[in-house]
Amino acid sequence: MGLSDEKLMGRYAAGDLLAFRELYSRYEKRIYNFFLRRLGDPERAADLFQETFLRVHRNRHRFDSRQSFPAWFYTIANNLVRDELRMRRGIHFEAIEEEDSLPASSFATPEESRAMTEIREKVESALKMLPETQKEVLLLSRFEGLSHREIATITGRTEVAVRQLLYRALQNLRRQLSDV
Amino acid sequence: MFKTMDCKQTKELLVAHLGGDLSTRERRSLLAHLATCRACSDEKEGLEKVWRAMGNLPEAEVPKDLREATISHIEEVLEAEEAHLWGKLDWENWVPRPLAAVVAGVAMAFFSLWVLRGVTVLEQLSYEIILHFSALLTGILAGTFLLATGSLPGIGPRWQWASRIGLLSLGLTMLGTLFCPKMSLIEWWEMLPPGEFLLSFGQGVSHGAFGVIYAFLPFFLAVLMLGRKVKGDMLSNALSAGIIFLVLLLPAIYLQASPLSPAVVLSWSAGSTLGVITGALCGVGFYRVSSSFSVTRA
Repeated sequence: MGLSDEKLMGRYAAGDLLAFRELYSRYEKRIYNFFLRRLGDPERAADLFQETFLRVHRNRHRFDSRQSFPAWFYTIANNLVRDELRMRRGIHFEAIEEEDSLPASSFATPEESRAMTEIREKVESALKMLPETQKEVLLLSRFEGLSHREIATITGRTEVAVRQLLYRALQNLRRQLSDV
Repeated sequence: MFKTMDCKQTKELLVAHLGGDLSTRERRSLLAHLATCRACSDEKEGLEKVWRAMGNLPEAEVPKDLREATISHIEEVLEAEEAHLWGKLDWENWVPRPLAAVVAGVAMAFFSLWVLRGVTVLEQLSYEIILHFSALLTGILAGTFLLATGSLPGIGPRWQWASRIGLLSLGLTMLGTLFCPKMSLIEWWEMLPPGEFLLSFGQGVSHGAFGVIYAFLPFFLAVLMLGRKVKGDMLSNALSAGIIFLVLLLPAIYLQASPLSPAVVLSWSAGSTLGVITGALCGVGFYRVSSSFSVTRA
């Protein structure tokens, strides 16, 4: 369609079903993976995925087309993750396997595939070890491609704080992945 | 690790560099610093390595059932809200749907009966009984569709709108029949210049052509009036509406054509089927053209 996310959101708020479908197709994979990486739980990722689109729908008239749509959208998603993590702190949390949801590439040779799987597992476990505040900004920056200003809006921090957290997150990862 | 204040500032610029979030001025100062500072240059390489390693993480596909459930749920909510705005009265909240369906069905039956009585030879009592039965059948069919599409939770919003389009088409057809200047629609058609002309190719051709117009006009109009509501998957929705319309229309065609001959019933019905398909294609075509026009303008 070629319309910006903000224009599509405006049309969606006016009741255009096609605009909703277009926005949905632009963000479904990104947001699903965002939840998977933040929570490591496909079932809860699916729940929050649905809840995000429902909240977007309920609040669609509040969206101001002068603001960044990704920042608005990820603020909703990020708040859901924060609520979820806050709730988890109060209950026993079981480690959840992610193998089913994150398959290895089928295009590599067996050796390459093994090596890639090894690196992937190291990165995944290193990410899990990161403090939540660092993981939050790192995932928003690395995988969602958001600017530091957008991440600052989403997380309620200053841009300088976002950059400092990102730097610390990368340093932590670097230490843990020193042999990669 | 960092030797000077410049190095401390550089670490912030390095993360901005990784995310492609540097201004031209910042990039220039970063490059100038890296050219003179070995420690920061090594730091940059190390961070880039980690950044690239993170790129190896594969992306999971959204499960198909999750995608469908989310889309249909949002569309359902959107449809309900639109219906609420459209109707203003919010009747669905205070009139139970089964009751609304029964009332709609009975109303449709009386309407059919009233219209169809005009095209029957009333002195043939046995035929009148058939007429009454068929008219009631039309009403029951209409009511059943409303009931099924309105109250069964498993049926999505598209079917609801498809059935509304089908019912609207039938209503328009009945209205057209009501204003027909002759008792028998098909006889009136044969007197019109195009009908008369087509008769020279055979009765089947003329009656078939009449069937096309008979179904196409109301169905196309109905798609134009309500099609906006179901444009998510437009062609299949329009064809679903067409099937509903045909199911509702066939008893009416049978009633109006059966006194003539089975061949008339057949050619009229076949023509109407073609008319519905053409109406669906034209309706979808109209929306696609008008939608691409509005997108281009935007």
